[in-house]
This record gives sequence, structure tokens and C-alpha cells, in this order.
Amino acid sequence: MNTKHTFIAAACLALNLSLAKVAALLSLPVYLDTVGTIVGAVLLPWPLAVAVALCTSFLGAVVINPYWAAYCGTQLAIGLTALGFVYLKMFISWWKAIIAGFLIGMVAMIVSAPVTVVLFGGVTLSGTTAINAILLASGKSIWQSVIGGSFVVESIDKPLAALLALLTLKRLPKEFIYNKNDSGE
Amino acid sequence: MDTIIPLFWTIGAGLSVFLLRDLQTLFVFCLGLGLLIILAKKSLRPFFQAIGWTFPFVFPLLGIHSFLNAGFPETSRLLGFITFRHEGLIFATLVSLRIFTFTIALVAWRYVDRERLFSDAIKAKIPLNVLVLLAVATSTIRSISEKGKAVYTAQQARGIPAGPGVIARFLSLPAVILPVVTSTILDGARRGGQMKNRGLGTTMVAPPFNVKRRKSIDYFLALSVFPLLLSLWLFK
Repeated sequence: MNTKHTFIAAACLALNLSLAKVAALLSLPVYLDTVGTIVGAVLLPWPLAVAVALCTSFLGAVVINPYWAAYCGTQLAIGLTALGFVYLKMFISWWKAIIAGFLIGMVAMIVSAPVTVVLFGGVTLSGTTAINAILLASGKSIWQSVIGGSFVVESIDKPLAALLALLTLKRLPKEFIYNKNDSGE
Repeated sequence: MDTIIPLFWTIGAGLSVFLLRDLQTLFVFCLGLGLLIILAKKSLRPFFQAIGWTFPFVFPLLGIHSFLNAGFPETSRLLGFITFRHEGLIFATLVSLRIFTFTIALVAWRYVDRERLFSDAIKAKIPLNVLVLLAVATSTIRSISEKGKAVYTAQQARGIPAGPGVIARFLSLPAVILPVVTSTILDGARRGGQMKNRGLGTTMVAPPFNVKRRKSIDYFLALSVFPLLLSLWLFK
């Protein structure tokens, strides 16, 4: 077991679950529940990065809200997409990070839509429900409303999370960045 | 509570999405699960907890689908001007009951005995990395929130422009978030080095020895969900 990586993964996981509360101090409607996943995708080997993404949902269901577990597929998709963008070296400049964040948001929107529609009937615990309600009342189908509402929220939240992840990575020592040729601790 | 109980209830709740599609059978299934959790904990608390978790969904669901969702036909008008959709009400009630079944199973996970959960996880050959990851993350979460508050207070003392306006608050976000994120990751790496010096990861983990053996009541409570589900599906 690579102890350093495991503890960094634990830090990333804990960040996913607690940054929303920190953002709430500024009264901002953002969740930032993927900053840890994106940072983990750069700092960790891919199995641990995927574990961070998956465990975010399951631990979130225990610690924060039981419904986090329903979105484990979304977190997994976000983790895998972030890993793909790390491979494409998208987290090296601010504009690439914003593009990567936006695309991660679109993936999250597509993967979480079936859960929100089928399991929750278009209602979530976030402010997205208000947007969904407006779209439903205007005659859009439940799928269009959920996707429309998610688009508005994710296109702000995920680019912001990606940008914060990039700024964090620039502040960390370069030896933290995962190199698969690195032999150990 | 034993691990197998919420595990089988979660599987049962998942199957109910496909097998039980009408209000009556789903309502009876919810009542059945509610009774099981009351029997398991010998307390009404988890049942009311599940209701409490489900409530924030129920009112928006009823409001949106009974009144706003134009996908359902209008059936009547309340007070002469509020459009009411009966099919929307049925749909919202169905979704609420479905959410409630999952919530009961998820609430049950919160009552699982931790030593039992840890022991079962080791027996299930879940990698040690993952177990350490979950255990350490759980203990770190609260400290991050407190660190965030401390950083926010310190940055305010330094005069970060946290308003007025949304844009000013967005611009001040890095000043609050970045110190928290960076210090948490650096702390994690440092702690990893310290734990490695203490031998973490160099030996196998022995399961805790205080874990009680499973009783027949545990198996009964865990497996009861399947006859309940099957009987409702077959005799609806």
C-alpha cells in the first residue's frame, strides 16, 4: 500500500464532502463536490482516483445525506472524465481547465439526469429544482427540464471546481504530481 | 445492526423500482420496510428519520407535478384558477414512496455497527487502501469545515472583498478555498509519511475480535424483504 497516496486520497475525499460548507460561508450557490476528485485525478494513480470518486458518494450518503449514494454513477463519470483530461494535459492552463471543467459538467449533467428523473421525479435537494419547476411549467418534458436545470448549474459549478483544482495544483510541490514511473513513497 | 440487514434492504429497494409500479403495492412495501426497521432497532427513531429525510422531496414533488407539470392533463381547477392534475399527483406520490423505500435502506446503513462493517469489509477482501481512505476521510471532514471558518475569519481580517454582490463573492472564493484545499492535501501527505513510519500497510489487518456472531433474527430481518417484495409483486 502506498501510504502517502492513500492519505492524499483521503484528503481529496474529505474535501469533496466539506467544501460546500466552506463555500456556503460566502453565500454562494455552488457545491464544489468535485474539487477533490479533479485534484485526485492529477495527484493519484488512476485506481485511487476512481476510488475517491466512488467513495465520495457512499461516504456522503452516510455522513451528509442518504441520497448522495444515488449519484455514485455521476461521481464515477466525473472521475473518469477528469482522468481523461489529465492524460490530455488539460490542467496546465486556466482556459484549458475551464474547458475541461465545462465538459466535465456536461458529462455530469447527462449521467445524473436519469437518476433525477426516474428516482426523484425531477426534484433534487438543491436550487436546481426551482429551475426544473419553471421549465416544467413552461411545457417542457421532465427530461428537458432536468437537463436544462442541470446545464445552468453545472456550467457554473464544474468550471469553477476545475479552476480551483488548477490553482491548488500550482500551489503544491511538483513532486506531488503523480508519475507512473515513480517507484514508491 | 448487522451489515447484511441494510445490504439486503438496499437490494430489495432497488428491485422494487422494477417490480412494484402501482401505489398500493409500493405503499404496503414501504410500511413493511418501516416495520422491519422499527423491529431491527426496537425504536421509532430510524423510521421518523427516514420520513424526515424524504419530506424535503415530497412537497416539491407534489407541488410541481400536481400543479405545474404541463405534461399531465388538467383535471380540475382549485379556487377557480389553480390548475390541478390528478395524474401528476399519482406520479408524485409514487415517486415519493419510491424515495422513501430507498431512504429506509440508506438510514439503516447509518445504524450498522462499525466494527461489524469493518470486519465484513476485510472478509470481503476490500483493499486496505480503500478502508484506510474511508476511515481517514471520515475523521478529516469536520476539521476541514472548521479550518474553512478559521481561514474565512482570517481573510476577512485581512480585508478580502466578500461583497457586496455575487461577483465579488465569487472573486473572493479562491482566497477562502485555496488555503483550505492546499493545507488539507499537504497535511494528508505528511500524515501518510508519519503512518508509514508507524508501520501502516506493512502487515495484514486483523479483523476486530469484539464482533458478535450473527443471530437468526439478523438473517430474518435481512431476508424478510424478499418474501414481502415477491408476494406484493405476485399478488398485486
